[in-house]
Amino acid sequence: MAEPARPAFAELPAPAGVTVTERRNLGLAHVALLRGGRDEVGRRLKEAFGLDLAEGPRCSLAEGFRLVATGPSTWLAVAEDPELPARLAGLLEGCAAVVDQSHGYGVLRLSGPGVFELLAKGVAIDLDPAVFGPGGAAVTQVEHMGTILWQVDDAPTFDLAVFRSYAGSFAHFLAGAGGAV
Amino acid sequence: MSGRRLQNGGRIDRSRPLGFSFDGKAYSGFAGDTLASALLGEGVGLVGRSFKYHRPRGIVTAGSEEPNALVELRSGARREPNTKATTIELFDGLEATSQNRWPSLGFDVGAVNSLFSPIFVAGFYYKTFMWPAAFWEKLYEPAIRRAAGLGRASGEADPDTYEKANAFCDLLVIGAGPSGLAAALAAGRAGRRVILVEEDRELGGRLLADRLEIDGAPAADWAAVAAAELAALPSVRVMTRTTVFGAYDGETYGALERVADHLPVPPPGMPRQRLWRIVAGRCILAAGAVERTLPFGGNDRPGVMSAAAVRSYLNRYAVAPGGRAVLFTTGDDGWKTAADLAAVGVELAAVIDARAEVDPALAEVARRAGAQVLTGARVTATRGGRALRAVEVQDGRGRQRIACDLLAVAGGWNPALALTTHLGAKPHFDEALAAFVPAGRLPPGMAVAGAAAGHLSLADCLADGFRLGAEAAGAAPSPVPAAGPDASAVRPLWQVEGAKGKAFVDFQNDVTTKDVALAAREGFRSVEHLKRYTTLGMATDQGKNAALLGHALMAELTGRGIAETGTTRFRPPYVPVAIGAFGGTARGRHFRPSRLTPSHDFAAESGASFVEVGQWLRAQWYARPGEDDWLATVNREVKAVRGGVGICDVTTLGKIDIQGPGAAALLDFVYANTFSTLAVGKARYGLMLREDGIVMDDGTTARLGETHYVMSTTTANAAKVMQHLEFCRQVLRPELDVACFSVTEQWGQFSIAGPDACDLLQRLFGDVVDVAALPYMGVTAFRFEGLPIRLFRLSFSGERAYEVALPAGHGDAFMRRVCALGAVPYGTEALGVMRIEKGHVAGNELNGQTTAADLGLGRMMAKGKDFIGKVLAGRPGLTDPARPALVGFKPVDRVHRLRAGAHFLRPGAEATIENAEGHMTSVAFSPMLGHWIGLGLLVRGPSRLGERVRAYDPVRGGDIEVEVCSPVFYDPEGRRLHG
Repeated sequence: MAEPARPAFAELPAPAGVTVTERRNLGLAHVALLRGGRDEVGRRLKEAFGLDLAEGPRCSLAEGFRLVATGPSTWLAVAEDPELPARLAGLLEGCAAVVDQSHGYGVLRLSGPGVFELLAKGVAIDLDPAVFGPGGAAVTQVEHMGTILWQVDDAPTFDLAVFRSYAGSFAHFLAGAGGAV
Repeated sequence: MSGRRLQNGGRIDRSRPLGFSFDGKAYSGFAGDTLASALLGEGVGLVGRSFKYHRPRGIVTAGSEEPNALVELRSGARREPNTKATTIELFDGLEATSQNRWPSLGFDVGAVNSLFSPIFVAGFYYKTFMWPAAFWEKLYEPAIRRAAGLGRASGEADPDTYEKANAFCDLLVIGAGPSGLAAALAAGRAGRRVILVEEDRELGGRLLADRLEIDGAPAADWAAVAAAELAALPSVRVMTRTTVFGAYDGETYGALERVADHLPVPPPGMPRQRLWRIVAGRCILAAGAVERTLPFGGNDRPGVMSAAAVRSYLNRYAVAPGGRAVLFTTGDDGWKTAADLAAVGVELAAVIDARAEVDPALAEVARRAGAQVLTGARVTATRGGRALRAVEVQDGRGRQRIACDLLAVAGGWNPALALTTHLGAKPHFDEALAAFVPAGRLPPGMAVAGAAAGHLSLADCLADGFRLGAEAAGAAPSPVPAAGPDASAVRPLWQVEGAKGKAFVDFQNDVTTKDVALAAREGFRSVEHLKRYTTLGMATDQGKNAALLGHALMAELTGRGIAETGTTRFRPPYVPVAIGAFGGTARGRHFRPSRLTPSHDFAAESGASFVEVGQWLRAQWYARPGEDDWLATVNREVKAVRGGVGICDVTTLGKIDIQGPGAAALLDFVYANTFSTLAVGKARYGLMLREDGIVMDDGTTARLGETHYVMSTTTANAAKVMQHLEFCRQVLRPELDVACFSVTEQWGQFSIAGPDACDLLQRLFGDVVDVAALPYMGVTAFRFEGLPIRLFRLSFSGERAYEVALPAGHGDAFMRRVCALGAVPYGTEALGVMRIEKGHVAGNELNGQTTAADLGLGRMMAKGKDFIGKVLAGRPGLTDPARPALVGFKPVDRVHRLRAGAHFLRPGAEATIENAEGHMTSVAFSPMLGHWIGLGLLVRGPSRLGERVRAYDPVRGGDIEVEVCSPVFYDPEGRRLHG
């Protein structure tokens, strides 16, 4: 186990007009508010990271990490730094519960002009720039696989997180959806 | 039939001739033809045989409402029955075959059914073929079933692929005729997201079929300009060859895009069809209207065609469907066909107008063409065998026969309002229009424009489209182009007096006016009963062009108006949709996603066989080279664990992380036993009940900290328990301050079991933690080579055993490392054998009918606290001591195999369900005992140890004697746990 962790995705397809890469060695954590903790959580995050906690299904951004809203009082923390979950747990002690999910999800980054067409084949959410846009977040299903997705920029670039065990089936969906619409 | 291609005109491309075959004979057509237009152009008029009576049938329409011209398209695996020749785009090499006839279309033995037509009336199978009774099941019903259906499926695997996709818009416009084009322009110009969906390959609708004018120029030109503008508008998406087939809740519409059906074979990577789910803020239904036929005798003969269809063939496809035509019309609209026939020089023998008076200008058109004009007249019958030869006409002066090979019928228009009724709205009968129009509570956000709303004239269509499009877009109305003259006045004609011969009100299901009268006589007087009794409107065309005639007749027979009689509601799909399109990519292995464990690759490399547990694939056993018998493999694995050490991937069991001051209270609430008293660093087996007192799930829950627990569940119930906890947390006990997280995927978890397990783990972890010192049911967390590890001392097998949890990405490496240290990998079968040997309950016993007491776990029901299921578990029915309870079973003759599912009977009792006293729940061959063992539920089982009962399995022919015993077969004192 001194070796690095295996990637969640063994193979990745190359659909037309879309670059698909796996985001590896991320620090992922689920954060859930405890009773009355919203203001305190907001305050501590602002102080420690300069992060402003957004309302609604959106991402809250800080240097090197973001909080993706997954519900009225829950978030998926996504960080380049694998140590972040532990740091968050310590920081938010008493006002939020934090659990490490760095190995629970495989995260893919989809970028390029063909992304909207590709996602249209599996995502039943309106991702049109007029209503979604960078910073938008959603918890949804793609071909019966629970998926957390968020828009990173207007290239467009989207990140999608699925349970690690679904990686093979999810890659199969992407490969099949690669044809033009 | 003497249809022919016209020298000039049409929207076909004469520079691209295409070859095709029909019933094995070679023909040719042009790019731009449909199969129907190409057949008519080659003089082919007979295209099928009707369902029941095998009557010769020809092409009736030029669109997707076609009832007769159903063919089998393509051959081999791609053969598709019941495709409409009127919508098949001709391609080079197309092969089509007629249906429902033997041995040939021209000479069909089935036509003998016509002779027996008095027997084969509606509902005949309820009244005939009843005697002798035994013949029904063995002879009559199979024969009737074989005769039923139109066309044959290929029976081979579908080589094509299908896709599904989602789309969103501010405005969905259904139909790209004049109204739809106008609406899309109005909204698209205002910058709204518009999706315009059109069934045909080209936009324009009837602008392509009729000779109409817009702004003083041919209407088809206006359509082309509109199409170009729409293609250039960035917020407008135009989808051709696409049919919206259903309106659903949530402003959602289903549409089928025929991506590659117009090509001989889909190119690699292209799906054949794509099913769309379109969510639209607003919708405008501009689907046009369908022309009705009329109920005269022989109205189904090849050569009898919709007058509007005749215009379409003349103007769009440059085909004259006959050489000598008669027009039978009830309104001005039909006269357009007379003018169009005359314009291309097709002989017009007569115009039969049902009205007493006709506009002299129209009559003049006919007279100039040399045609007789009969007013206040009707066609009563047609003559001819497989093709029309003449019509019988009656008017005030008497009867006459007029020779012709084409009868164009203009019976009025039915607005294509099916989608408005999909969510339950009832249409309203418009007396002036003599048709049903959309009414009632339409699908939310839907408006109806043009002919679909009963506004038939071109001017009204354009006005509707521009107005409703602007309204939907919240934009100012734009100017409406000027429409040229168009006719629409109609006089309804529901019955033809003096009609002779069968008058059909449903062509595809062979339903006649006589069947409607029969239904009325027999009491099936509501239109919904009429429909099911006669099958009127139940064929693939949903009665689009004639069913209203049946309803009108029923109205007359029952002395009610049509408005009161009503019409049936339509249901999706509006046109037939291939089941493959609904399936999309979910086929075969990919019917649902698979979940793979962290050690999956290792298992596959090791030759493991896998079993599906829900979506998971779990290693069932690891056969070694040379091991052909799964039982031998499983026995080896069990002996390896009990004699040494084995490792099993148990990641799939649900893991739920529970944190917060309210964690202990939540666990006390959901479990029957108590967890607030569990010490930090210990685990406990927990039993979870449903509200009704029945056992729901079991697992072990460990306390990692004062306010931190991790729960385990069975694999099958992981998601269900997670939902249950969330429901309890959010709804039942919202005052508890607690959070729950699913961490099944985060941690790979491995069971390491056997007398050498402790040794192995000590060798592995010994520098960091004293494994041997961990007490039974203890848990400890530490870091090893930089990774967080949780070590639990738990046993499902009854051996001294541990579970190691570590981040899932390192699970594969861990499995390999432990195997390299001497552990034998074992799968779910061996896991199951060992737990049965120890009498541990699992899914077979937690079957949704058993209580804690039934399973011998009554002592776990805590007395001092409230918990889910406590109250209802106390019901007399659930505390009855006579309930079947858990015991063990051994075959009396040790060589016998036990079977799960066998029912228990007292020796000598008759084998009836009333005498059954429980059933066998789990069985296994025990390599430790050398014979089969079983667990089961037996009435008063625990008090009957030593008794013999019969295990009766009539399904698999098992019937043996078994001995009732303790469910703990191996190491009953549990010494090996501490071994």
